[in-house]
Amino acid sequence: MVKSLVAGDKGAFEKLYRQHNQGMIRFATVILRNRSTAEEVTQDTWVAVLRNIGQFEGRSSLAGWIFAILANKARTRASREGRSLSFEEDDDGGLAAAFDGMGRWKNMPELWDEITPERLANDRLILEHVSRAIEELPPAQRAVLILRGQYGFGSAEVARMLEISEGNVRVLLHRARFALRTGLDKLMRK
Amino acid sequence: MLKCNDVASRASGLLDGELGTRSTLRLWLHLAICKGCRRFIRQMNVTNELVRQSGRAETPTSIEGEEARMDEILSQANGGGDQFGKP
Ligand SMILES: [Zn+2]
Repeated sequence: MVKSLVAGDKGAFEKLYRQHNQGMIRFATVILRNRSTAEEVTQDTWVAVLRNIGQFEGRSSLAGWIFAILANKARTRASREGRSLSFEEDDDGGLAAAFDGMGRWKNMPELWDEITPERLANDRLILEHVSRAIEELPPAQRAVLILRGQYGFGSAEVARMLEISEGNVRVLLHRARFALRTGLDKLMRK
Repeated sequence: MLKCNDVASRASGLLDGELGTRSTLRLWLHLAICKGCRRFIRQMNVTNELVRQSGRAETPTSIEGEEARMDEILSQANGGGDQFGKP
């Protein structure tokens, strides 16, 4: 893929673009809090990616390299506009509230028999519920969840992209997952 | 002995393979006697899988204006030259 891009293969670019463009816009929107600015920054990122592809050394994945450029551009743009990734709206994902004073579950977790991994891929309703629930997470949790949970980048890589500590990445990821699982547990009880 | 809330706060570490041997053992000891936490770990596993799937589900095949945007990116990247990637 990288070789084709360096050689100027338009088809290789289109494939990469279709694979990542939507995810990039979604991630940039979390940082910039504005969809059209996010689209602009994503487009700038693609131009930078194509111009600098010759310098990609394969120390991270190609996607990791692209997202590092995007994160950098988005943060620069956000700070120019007086914004930064907000931790103010952050919460603990409902962790504390799930337990009584003795550290026991207030609501015994359900057995989610209806959703097996094999059925997941076909279950549009559940996936739509999850996508909506992700949109409602506090921004910092959402940013980490997209990068760690959806793209599978490592904690250290994500920490560099967001300029936060690795410990912070882990905490935010866990809160986000816990909040999502609590939402799903409620859905399953209905 | 760990309590259920201790297990809950370490669940991501367990599933991501980031816990040490000692912490993992203590967690398994609790899981051996607690049905609620066993279910919870399974739920977290399913949740992680759903998050991965939901990321994939949003990749569209074709959107209005995408072709034009791709051409614009390519022409900006070329900046007059005939091959992107070349300085
Ligand atoms: Zn327990």
